Amino acid sequence: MLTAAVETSAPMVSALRARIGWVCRALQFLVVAHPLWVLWIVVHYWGDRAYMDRYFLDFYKLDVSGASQGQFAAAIGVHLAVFALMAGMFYCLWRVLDLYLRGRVFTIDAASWLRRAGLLGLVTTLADIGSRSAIVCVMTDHLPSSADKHHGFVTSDDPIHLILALIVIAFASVQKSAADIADENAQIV
Amino acid sequence: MHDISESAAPDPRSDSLRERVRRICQTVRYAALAWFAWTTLLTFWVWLHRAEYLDKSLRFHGIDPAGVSELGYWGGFATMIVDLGAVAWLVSTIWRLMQGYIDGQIFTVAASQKLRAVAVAGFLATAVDIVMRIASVALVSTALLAKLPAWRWLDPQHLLYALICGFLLALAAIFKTAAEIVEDNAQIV
Repeated sequence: MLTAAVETSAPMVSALRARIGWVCRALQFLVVAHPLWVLWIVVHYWGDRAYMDRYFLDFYKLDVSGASQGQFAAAIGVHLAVFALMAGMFYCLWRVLDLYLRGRVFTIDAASWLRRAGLLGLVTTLADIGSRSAIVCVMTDHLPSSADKHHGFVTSDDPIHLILALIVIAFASVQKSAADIADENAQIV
Repeated sequence: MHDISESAAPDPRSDSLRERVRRICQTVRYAALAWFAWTTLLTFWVWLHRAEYLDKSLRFHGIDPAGVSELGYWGGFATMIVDLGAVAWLVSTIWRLMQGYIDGQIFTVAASQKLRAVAVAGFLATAVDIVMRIASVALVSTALLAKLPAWRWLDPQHLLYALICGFLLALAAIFKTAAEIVEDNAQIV
């Protein structure tokens, strides 16, 4: 049905594709580059045991030098679980951009993938916040119960991530309406 | 330019869209304002506790905080205020966009221009943040600047923000076309 809309508004949509084509290609590159970069950072820091020991001592005032390899693996597992959610969000954005590049801009499909990206963005941010406490718990599992194992914090980036996710959800609603209008336009013509 | 919100006859579709996005838009604009207030307070809190800040940021890298001059420290703080200025501009563009959506100005060229302004302000705030962070560290401690690897200055957050801003830029072009389709539709009717 939206193919019809694209056909009836062909000159407008063609001009739009020309305008946003290069932006979409650049964004597709970033959508892949960002998670790879995050993954590299996780591996880089968590692969350096001495650095992580020093980090926990400095930041949480906790000595985790006695933590087992299993605890390290579990902590990395928590990181990777959050990473998987994030990668899912970027996959949704990839799908949106792919639809845009194929000219399927004003479609319910694009709006749905955009909404999924926003919802996964919300979930990822909340999981990321929760994972910080979980990682400290895992890494201090071997310490006596008298040690202060309960840490949690929110960074100044977290609220902006939530805001961005909400903006994406709002735009998904707007885009769904745009798709409906395009469809109606096609039916009128 | 035809505007759904300005139609003489009530339009159930635009009312439904406005109702759907109203709550999200209200949340987003107040959350953006709260985030700005929080990040400002946090910046002041951190920098006004000089000893603690220097201890955390310098000692971790094996640098003696005693070498930091008064002028250098407060110069570093001033650069972070410039950073906050760029964030304030970004938040003001988000506020204006969300206000427009709440007022029902969704498929209008003006709304797409406001969205474009958010994207541009976002790009600028991201660039300013990168430059000001480097300037801030350079003013506080050149030893720390020399010690940190170059890749530390570009963090995945910046890439994420650039990605989202690029996405908003594409959406601004899409919504502008949607506004033109709405006008086209109105003329046909």
